[in-house]
Amino acid sequence: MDSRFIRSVIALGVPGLALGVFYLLLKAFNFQFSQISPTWTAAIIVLFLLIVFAITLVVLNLWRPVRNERQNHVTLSNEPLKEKTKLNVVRDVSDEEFNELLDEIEQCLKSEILSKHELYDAYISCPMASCEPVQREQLKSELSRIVISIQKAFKLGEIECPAVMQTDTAEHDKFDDPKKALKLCFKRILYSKRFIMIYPQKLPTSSIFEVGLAMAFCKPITIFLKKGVELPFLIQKIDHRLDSAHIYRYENSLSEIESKIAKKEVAL
Amino acid sequence: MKSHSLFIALPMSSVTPQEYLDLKKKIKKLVIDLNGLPQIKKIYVAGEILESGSKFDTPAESALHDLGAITDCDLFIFIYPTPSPSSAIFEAGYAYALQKKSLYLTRSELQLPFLMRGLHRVTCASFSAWEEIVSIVQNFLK
Repeated sequence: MDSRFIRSVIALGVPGLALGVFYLLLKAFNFQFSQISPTWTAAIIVLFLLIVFAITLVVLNLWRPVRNERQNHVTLSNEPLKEKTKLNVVRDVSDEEFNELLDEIEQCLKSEILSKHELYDAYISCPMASCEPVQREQLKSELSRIVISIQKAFKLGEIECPAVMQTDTAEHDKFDDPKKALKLCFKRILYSKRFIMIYPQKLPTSSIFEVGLAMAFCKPITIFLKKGVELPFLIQKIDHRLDSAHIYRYENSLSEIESKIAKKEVAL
Repeated sequence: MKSHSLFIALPMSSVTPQEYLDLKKKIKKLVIDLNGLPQIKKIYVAGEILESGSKFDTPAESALHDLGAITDCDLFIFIYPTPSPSSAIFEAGYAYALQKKSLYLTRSELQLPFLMRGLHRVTCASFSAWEEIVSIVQNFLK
């Protein structure tokens, strides 16, 4: 058989291949359409088209191209397609749930607390409540420097860092009450473009809860982890699963983070 | 009547192997008892699929399964017997962001990480013995 003919029909895909097979069958049996009535000719052509259509449909369904699952900066890698799809359901919130959330957000924005902020470039979370008072003061000043460093290096504007804001007495009162603090943190994470966590010690901290919020809100996540400190099991390899997640380790001091940021050795 | 799919989150990987085995027994009994409730349709406990403390899934696999199961559940139960830097806290944050109906069970609310003490639409209950959990859940579902 002529190989050029085979290559030509294969190049046309399933319909072309079907047409080729049909042609070869007719040729093998030396069949001429002029030998039969026009009604039978029409019936054979319609039947042929239906069979080709059905085969094409099945083939397209079985070997359809895999779609890129990238959505809101999040791409899950190295996982089966079925499981990827399952996770992406997270992005689908029902209208009712979404309306409830919007109502709550709207109320918060109207309140005095959040009226001055609408969108943040980053949210920085760092364990504070479970730290000793002495450690807190030191952490706050180091975090302030990190915030400035990020703003300068990445040319970012508004960065939310509740730990730093607690230095302000007025803000401190708000963070003294978990209910108020939660409202603030929830909305700020939601409205931030990216989420940054600093984890200097293995602590049962709210920061772990905030990573869960950020993950559900599809925020790019960057974690600065002190060397030797272990993250909770499920987020230990978060950077392996999400293209938008990064984990950087530092030796001792938070000033190392500041320096890495200044040199742009990290991705935010 | 059987309408609730439960996701149970609790510290598993942050306990010692001996504590793990003890915890696993308690969870198995709890799951059997909860399955006996007429309102419960399905229960997902990440720890249940593990054979021993040393045979954890990889973090990536566990996260994928757990987050998928949280998405599918309609009641999230967070059991926090002792303060621990556990993935269960991360799961609680994820479930809260998805506005899942949640029940937090702890010895005392003060043991919870700071932000988790002030959650809207989350019921927090204290328990002293594991046997109490079933009746707490039953009352919650009424």
